[in-house]
Amino acid sequence: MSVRSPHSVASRDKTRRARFTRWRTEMSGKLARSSRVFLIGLIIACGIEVIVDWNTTIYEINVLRDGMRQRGLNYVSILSKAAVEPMLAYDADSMDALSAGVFDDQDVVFVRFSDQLGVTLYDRLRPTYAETFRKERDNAFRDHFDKQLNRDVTGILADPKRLADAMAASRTRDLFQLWNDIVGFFVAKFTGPKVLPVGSGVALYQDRLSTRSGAHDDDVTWALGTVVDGRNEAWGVALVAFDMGRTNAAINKKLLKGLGMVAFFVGLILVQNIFSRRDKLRLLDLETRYGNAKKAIRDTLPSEVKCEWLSVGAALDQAPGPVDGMFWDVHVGEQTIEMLVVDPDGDGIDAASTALHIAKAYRARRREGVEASMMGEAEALGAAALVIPLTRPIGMVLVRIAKQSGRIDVLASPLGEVRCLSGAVARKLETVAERNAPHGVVGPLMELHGELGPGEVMVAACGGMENIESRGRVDASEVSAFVHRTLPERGDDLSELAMDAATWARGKLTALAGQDVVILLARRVADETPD
Amino acid sequence: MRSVLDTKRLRVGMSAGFAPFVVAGAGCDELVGLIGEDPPQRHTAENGTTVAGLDVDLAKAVAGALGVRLEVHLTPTFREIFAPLGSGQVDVAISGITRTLERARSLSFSQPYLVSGQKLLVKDESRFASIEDANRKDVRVGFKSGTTGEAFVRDNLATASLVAFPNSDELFRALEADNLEAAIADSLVGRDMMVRKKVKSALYAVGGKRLTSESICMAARQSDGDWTDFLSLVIRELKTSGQFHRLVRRYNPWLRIQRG
Repeated sequence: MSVRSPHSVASRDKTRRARFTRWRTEMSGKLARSSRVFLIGLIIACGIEVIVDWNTTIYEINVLRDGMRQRGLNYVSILSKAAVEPMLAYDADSMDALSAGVFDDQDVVFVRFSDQLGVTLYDRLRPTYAETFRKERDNAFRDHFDKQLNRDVTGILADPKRLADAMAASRTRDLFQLWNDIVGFFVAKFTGPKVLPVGSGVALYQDRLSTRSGAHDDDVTWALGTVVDGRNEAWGVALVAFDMGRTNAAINKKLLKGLGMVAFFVGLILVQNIFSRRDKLRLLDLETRYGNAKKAIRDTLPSEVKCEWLSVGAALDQAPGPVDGMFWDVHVGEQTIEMLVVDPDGDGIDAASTALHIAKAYRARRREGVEASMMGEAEALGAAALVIPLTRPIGMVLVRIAKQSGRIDVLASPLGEVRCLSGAVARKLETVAERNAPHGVVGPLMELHGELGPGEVMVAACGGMENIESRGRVDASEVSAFVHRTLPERGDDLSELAMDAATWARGKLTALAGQDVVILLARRVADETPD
Repeated sequence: MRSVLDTKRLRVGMSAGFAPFVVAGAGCDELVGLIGEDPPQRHTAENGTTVAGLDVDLAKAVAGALGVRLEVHLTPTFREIFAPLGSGQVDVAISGITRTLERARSLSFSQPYLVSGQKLLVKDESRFASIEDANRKDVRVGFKSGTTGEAFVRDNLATASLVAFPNSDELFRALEADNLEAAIADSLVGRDMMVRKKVKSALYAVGGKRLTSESICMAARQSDGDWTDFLSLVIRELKTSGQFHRLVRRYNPWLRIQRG
C-alpha cells in the first residue's frame, strides 16, 4: 500500500483572505526595512513637531501682543469719552491732566489729541523715551513718525473703515502678523468680516508701522480712536503710542523658548527614531534568521513516507517568533517502523542548529544500518548532541511499531504522550520502566509498551519541553478525541488531519505560544493480515 | 438782536490785550509774523486802529451768520469793555472774556468757545510743590489788576506779598527779572508770553496743573435772551461744521501744548 507523503507544514493560505494577509505581511516587512520610508516618516514627524511647537510659540506671542492691543484700545476708548469737553473748548490743560493718568503705564510713551481737522491740540512725549529714541534713530520721535501719525489721524477721521482695511492690508508686517492674517482670512470665511462699532466712536490699533527703509517697525505701536460726543459727532482723535521694547523682549524670550522646544523635541524624535530603527532592524534581522532556521528545519523533514501496512501522517506546527527547533523523522524498516520526535532544550538559532545536527546524525545512523536498542539509540543521539558547540540537551520521543505484531515500544522524555485510538477509546500505553536519561538527553525517560490493533490509530502528541511541569503540555487524550471526531472527514489524509490536530492543540493552550507542536498519527491497515 | 438786523451792522466791543484773542496796531504785525502761513485778516476798528486775532475772526463769523457789517469798538483797557454794553453802544463784547458769577449778575454770556484758567507760574520748577508752599509772607506773587487771577490770589494766597501790575507785559517782565517769585496769570496769557518770547526762561505751573477752570465766552446785555442764544448757536454751528477749527488752527502756537 502506498501512503501519500506528509508535508511538514501544510499550505493553509488558500483563501483570498490568507493571500491578503501574506501580502500585507510582506509589504509591512518591506516598508519596515526601507530606509527611504523611514526617512520620509522621520521628516513628517519632525515637521509636525515643528508646526505644533511653532504654533504654540506664535499663540503665546499673540497673547502678549494682544494684551498691548487691548490696553491701547482701552486707553483711547477712555480718553475719547473723557476728552469731548476739553476738545470742544480747546482746553489743552485738561487734555494734559487726562494724559497724565495714561503715562502711569510705563509702556505708554506718547499721547496726542487732534481736532476734527487732524490738527494737533495737545501731545506729550515721555522725555526719557524721547532722548533714547533720538539717540537710536538719530531723529526726533515726532519728526520720524510725522507722516504716519498724520496719515492715521486724518484717515480715521475721514473713513475709519478704509483705514482699518489699509492697516490690515499693510505689507509692513512681520511673520507672526502674516500668520495671523492667514488664519484670520480662513476664520473670516466662516464667521464673516468684522463689523466696526457704530455709535460710540471707532478705535483702531496700528501695529504695522514702517521704518524709513520701508521695513516693519516693531518698536512702536499706537492705538487711536475718534473723540465722539453724545450725538455721535466726531470732535477729534485721541492717540496713545507704546514703546514695544518690553513686549519685544518678552517675545524674544518666547522665541528662544520656542526654539529650544523645537530643538529638544526634534532631537528627541531623531534620537528615539534612530535608536528604535536600529533595534527594529536588528529585530527584523533576527526574524529573518529565525525564519531561515525554521525553513531549514522544515526542509529537513521527510518528504514522503512509504509503508504498505501502516498509514503515517505527521505535522509540525512551528511557533511564531523565535525558532523552537522541534523536528520529526520516520524510518521504515523491514520489520518495524521507527518514528522520532526531537526538541532541543530552549529556543533560538542554537536550538535550531542542535536540531539539524541531531537530524543529520539520526539519518546517518539509519543509512549506515546501525541497529540499536531504543536506549542505545537515545544514548547515541544524546552523545551526538554533545559534540557541537553551543549545544543543549534534547528531549525526544522514540516510537517503534512492529510490522507483524503491531507492538508499540516508546522511549519518551517528558515531551509528549502516546495513545492508541480504538474507536472512541484512547488507550494509554503501559509503563514498563522509568530510565535515567543518558548524557545529552532530558530525562527521565519513560519506557512504554502497547499494541496497535488493525484499524487503530496511534496518536503521539508532542508539545515542547518547557511545559513539562506545568499544565501547558499538549494533552494526548484531547488530541486523540479530536482525531476521532475528525477522522471520518479526512479519511486517508492523515497528514492534513495531523496538521489540523496540531493547529487545534495550539489553539487550546495559550501556553504553547512559544513552542512547536508535533503530531504523529499512524493507522494500522485493517483489512490486510500482516505476513 | 433786532437792532443788529435792522441797522445791518454788528457792533462788537473789544479790548486789545494778548494773542490769540485781540491784538491791535503793531501787535497785528507781530501776530501775523508769528503765525506765518494762513495769517488772520486784519480789521480796522472804528477809531482807525488795526485789529486782528481769534476774537476778531469770531466776530466776523457772527456778522457773517447774520449777514451784517462788522464794527469793532476798541476800549482803552479791559476794565472798560463792559460799560459800552450796558449803554447800548455795542451789541456784544468779544475779547477773551471769562464768565464769572460777578459778571453774570449784570451780563449775559454765550456758551464758551474756549476754556482756560489761572496758573501760578514760576521759573524754577522745584521751587514750590503746591500753592500752599507759596502762601508765605516772604513770597512775592504778582498779578494783573482786574483779572480773575487777582481774585484768586486774594482768596487763596492772602498771606503772600501780593504785587499788582497794570498789564501782563510788566507782570512777566518782573518775573523774568526775579522781582517776583511767582506770577498768577491765565494759562493762555502765559503761553502768549512764551510764544512772543516776552520771557526767555521756561515757565512752569506750580503743581503742574491749572488752578481754575474758566470759560471764555461772548458777553451781551441781559435784556435780550434771544441774542445770547443766537450767539451760542453760532458757536455751536461753527464748531459742528468744522469752521471753528479752521479759524482756530492758525492760533495753534497759543492753544497747543507740546510736552516732551
